[in-house]
Amino acid sequence: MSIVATFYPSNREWLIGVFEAAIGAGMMLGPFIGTVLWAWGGYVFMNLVIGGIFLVLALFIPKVFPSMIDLYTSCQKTADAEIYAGSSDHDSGVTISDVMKDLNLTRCDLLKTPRYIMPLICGMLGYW
Amino acid sequence: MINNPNESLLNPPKKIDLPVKSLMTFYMFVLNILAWACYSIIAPFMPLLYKKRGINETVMGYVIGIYSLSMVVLSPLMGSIINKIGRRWPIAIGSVMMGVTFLVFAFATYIESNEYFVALSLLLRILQGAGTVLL
Repeated sequence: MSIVATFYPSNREWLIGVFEAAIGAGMMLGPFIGTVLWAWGGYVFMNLVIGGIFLVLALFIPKVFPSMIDLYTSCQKTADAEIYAGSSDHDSGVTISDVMKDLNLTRCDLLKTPRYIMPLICGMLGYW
Repeated sequence: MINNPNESLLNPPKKIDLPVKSLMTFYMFVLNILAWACYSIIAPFMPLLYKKRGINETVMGYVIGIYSLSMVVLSPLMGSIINKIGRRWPIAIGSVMMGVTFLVFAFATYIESNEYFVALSLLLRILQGAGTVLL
């Protein structure tokens, strides 16, 4: 995820959401895959198949991922350091706390944002 | 391996093409789904297996939970290590680790002693958590 997040700087939140969905889907699919393979060939067969899939995927990793992406790490570090030091051109000097001061938010405004209220309702319904 | 951080400023990396990017994103997506499926894959038939061997059922909870525990301990460590050694090899090592642990899991059923079986499954689950963190 950390590799892929550097590719899409403008869509980083969307991408993180997609990967969270992948985690959820994986946890959901696990027992299903396990039971199907267990019914087909038993415990040893299931473990061999899953291990084999991982090893086959690992074979192609040097081809799929170019060695260039190792350089992205240090580049991102220096770029971040520039932003924090304020020497970058992209930095406008406005911090989050400055914006929050101008907005004069109350607690009631928090309940009006759909991003906050929808998970709250979903969680309450789920526990109920 | 990157030893000199200024090296990347002198030679900035070339742009990666869009098909390569999409392929890598898709690859990571599949690997993430599989790695998290491994978290819950043993849940349906562990009770059957443990009842057959006559192992106490509280051990089952430990074997499932130690995966998350190893992830909790190792994720911050791996985050700092990945910044030093680059991001390519940890993925390869992680998926090889997951594959090998599953192959060992397959042959762990042939161990007759219950104590050794439980100890080996705990160790393998810790390694699987480490593999998931590396992905």
